Amino acid sequence: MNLKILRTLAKSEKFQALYRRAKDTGVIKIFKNDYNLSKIQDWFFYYLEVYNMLYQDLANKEPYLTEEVIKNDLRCDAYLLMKSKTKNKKEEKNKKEAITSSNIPSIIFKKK
Amino acid sequence: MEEKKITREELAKEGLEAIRKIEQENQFENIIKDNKIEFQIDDKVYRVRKLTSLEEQELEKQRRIKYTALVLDNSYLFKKEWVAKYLEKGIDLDKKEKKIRANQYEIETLLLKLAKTSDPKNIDVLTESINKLKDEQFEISIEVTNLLQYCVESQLSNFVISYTTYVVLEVKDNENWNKVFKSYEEFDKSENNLLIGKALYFVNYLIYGENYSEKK
Repeated sequence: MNLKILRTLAKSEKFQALYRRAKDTGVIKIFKNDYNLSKIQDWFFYYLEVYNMLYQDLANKEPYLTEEVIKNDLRCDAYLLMKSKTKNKKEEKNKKEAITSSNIPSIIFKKK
Repeated sequence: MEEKKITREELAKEGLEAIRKIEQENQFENIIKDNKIEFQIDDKVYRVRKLTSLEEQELEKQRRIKYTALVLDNSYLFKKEWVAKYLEKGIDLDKKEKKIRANQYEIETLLLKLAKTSDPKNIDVLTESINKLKDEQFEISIEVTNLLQYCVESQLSNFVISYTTYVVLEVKDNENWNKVFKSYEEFDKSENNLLIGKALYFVNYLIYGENYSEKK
């Protein structure tokens, strides 16, 4: 599957604008078919979402993200990996904090 | 029979090269606009589409029949058995797969460094190292795939892609779409390599989404 071309299209202004309008109104059609997406359409939709998120991050001036990064697939993947690792760490930390601050008494299993 | 299947795989790869040109001319948009892909060879218009639920049921039945035939045929071995046979001959496939995973770990470590740098020199060095690891990963992966091409699992997977292609390949006749081949046997014996190569390639886009055409 030619992901390079797929990603180029997904990050293009044309498809990003279409995707934003589709998200806002729920009526703009990106594909001829409304359902039963093909594998390549699934992938395309995934990348539309990814680049939409990246452009939002760019607008929010997230650290390490620039236009140059978005243009380069490998640097983009690097940013996405870092973002998901940071998110996982935060979630894990929140989980631990929620457990320690919980009022539910912990269960102690004793050997008979 | 199996030799022909391998040839088909090779044909699909040859088809890739021809179609790569079309993609580079920005016609990729046509591929994603619908869940059917039309293409032309000479003066005929063909298409591949997704399977209907009835066809999926039929495919499942054919898969079962093929699987039973492969299992009952003693000349076919499962992947695990091939791995053991190769190990006896000094080829350690588990080690190769471990190497692929190790490379992946290394790639991710370098990607995390790449994410945090904006120094052009550093970006070039990291990009080169990552691409080198990816190339190595790809080569090992191709080697493993080739070594296991005769195992039951690979044979079954090739059959499923081939059978799907036979079912969903249609030719335009005025406003109607008709099946190109009347039976799977006819499809299997066909020497229209260009048509079958392209159809296999597009079916991959529509249904399976395997990434065998791309290194990175």
